[in-house]
Amino acid sequence: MKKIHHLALVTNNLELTLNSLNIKKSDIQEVFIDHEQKNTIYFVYIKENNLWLEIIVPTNENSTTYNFAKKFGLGLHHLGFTTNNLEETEKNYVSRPMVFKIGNYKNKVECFGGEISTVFVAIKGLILEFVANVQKK
Amino acid sequence: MSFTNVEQTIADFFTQKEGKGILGEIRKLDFFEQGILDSLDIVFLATYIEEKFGQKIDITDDNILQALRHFNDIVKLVS
Repeated sequence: MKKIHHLALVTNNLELTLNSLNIKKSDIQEVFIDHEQKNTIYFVYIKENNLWLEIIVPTNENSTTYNFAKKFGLGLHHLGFTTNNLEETEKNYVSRPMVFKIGNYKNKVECFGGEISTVFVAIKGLILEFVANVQKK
Repeated sequence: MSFTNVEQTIADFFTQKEGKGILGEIRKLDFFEQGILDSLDIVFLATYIEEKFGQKIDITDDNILQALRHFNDIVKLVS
């Protein structure tokens, strides 16, 4: 198994999430407003685990995470991995039984190194994100 | 209400989720508008279709996504 690059939580209560994980607001390294997926994403680097935490807050009812937040309030949404070849990774995963592509996105996330491309896939209740063009921290 | 085998298999997905009460009106419902299928449920429905019919559907294709709104369209999709 490849190293996990990030964990993504979805929440409808940022304060509660930060308090639950003993994260200070000053630990947030970047706030990214994703106009396409209608989410605000707070990036925190967890040095003890050498991985990033994405705390995703849906901005409105059209958000890609709105239903998740409505259903769970706070929950683990996806695991993130890096890839050097997004197209190949997508092809590989989508050809597997019970794996479904959810979507491709392009974003500019400075703490991941700038312009990134991603693909999300779902295997039953598990969502994986593969991110290309990531700069190592 | 009588169902073909394919219809019964699709109906089973919704009765497991919503109970047998859904059967009386299942052909009339818009599953998205009624809040019966959300984005997570769509993945589960796609998985169910692959398990039951051996057919992988592309849930990023808007035509397929729209077909998941109505019972009869789902049946057509897998038939």
